[in-house]
Amino acid sequence: MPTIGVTLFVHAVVILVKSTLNVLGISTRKMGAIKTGRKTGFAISGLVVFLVAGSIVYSLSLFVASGLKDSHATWKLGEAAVSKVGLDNSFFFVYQLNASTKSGSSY
Amino acid sequence: MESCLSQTRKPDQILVINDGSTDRSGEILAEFGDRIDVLTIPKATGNKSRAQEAGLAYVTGDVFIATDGDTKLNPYFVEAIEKEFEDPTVAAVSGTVKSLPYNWLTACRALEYAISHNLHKLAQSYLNFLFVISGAAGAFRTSLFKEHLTFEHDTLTEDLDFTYKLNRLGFRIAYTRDAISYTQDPAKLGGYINQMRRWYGGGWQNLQKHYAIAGRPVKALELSLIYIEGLIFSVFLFVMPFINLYFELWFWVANIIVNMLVAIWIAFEDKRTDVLWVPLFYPFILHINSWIFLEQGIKEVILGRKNLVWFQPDRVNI
Repeated sequence: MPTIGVTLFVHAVVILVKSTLNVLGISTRKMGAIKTGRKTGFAISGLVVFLVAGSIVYSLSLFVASGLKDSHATWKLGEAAVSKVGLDNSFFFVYQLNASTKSGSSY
Repeated sequence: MESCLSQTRKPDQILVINDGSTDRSGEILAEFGDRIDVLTIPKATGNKSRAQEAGLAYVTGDVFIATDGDTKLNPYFVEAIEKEFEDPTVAAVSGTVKSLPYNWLTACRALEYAISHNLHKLAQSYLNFLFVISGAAGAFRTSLFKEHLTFEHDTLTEDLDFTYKLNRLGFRIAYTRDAISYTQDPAKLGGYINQMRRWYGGGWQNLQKHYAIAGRPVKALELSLIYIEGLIFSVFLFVMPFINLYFELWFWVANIIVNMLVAIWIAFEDKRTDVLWVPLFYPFILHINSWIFLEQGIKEVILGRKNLVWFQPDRVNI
């Protein structure tokens, strides 16, 4: 099941690399020749690589920033959702991980 | 039939397999007279690969194109396929599939096809490992089937089974975006779910059957991307809302942006605006797909309940 995630990113990179090599006139015999859709493939894959890479960097920076500021901040909404559906927070693995990190104990 | 007969490169033979149809198919086919050959199977075989096996005996050409009864071909289909076969190393060719417009569900499918063909399939063809030759747009050298392949009827997705076999035997499969088939996809949610069950169920069956193919790095990478990421993605789709709503929100924003770009591209490329709305409700379809992917994985792999009965296609008159 190809998803809008790593598969899409890897495939976009493959198309981008292949298209770039082709534009530069570098032969990639083993990978087969580009016959159709060079411009479209190049444009779409470039956009996807940019967007997905941007998403990953942004998401990671959100995690790191929130982790530095307050280890609880990132999970606040998650906790709210959990308590809303009536689950005990202590049951929640990620919450436990965070709680123990904050109190300084080793999990 | 009309689309087959109006090709720029006329097919040498058009063979229709009337697999136990109970509608007016036989009567309509008779109207085409001697322009087509019809093989009538009185009782439905219940599986497309059985019907194809019966038809193969009557194929006279050195290359045959396989397509479906609910599909029409673009006028250049045969010409584009023939061009690919000029390369003697090419054993099979996969064309491109597009969904005929009808309602929101077929628009969703149009988006899925656009992503799977223009990104996934294109990249796979560059990596020399095309995952699947579309059942509605596949072409093969006849000798392949007569000398190297057998119909085994032990999976729900015969097109995937053939493609795995060709990859295992080291045959080269080409992909062309010039040969386009327009197919009628399910227009009702029940039919859509049945089709996804067949596709994903057949996918898991074939993965177990052809697991040895993962012995080569590129193929292992591709299968990992499809199945391992598929599993992780599907599980996280349902778990993520309970872990981190910020991430969940960001994920859907990114998802809608990527889908919107593809939808805009389809709107220009295929001149259809109905797909522009799809990114907004595609998350709903994505949840259905993920649920079925997991459900079929559990049934086929963990519980070993192998289903080989085709779900009755649910079609409307598009």
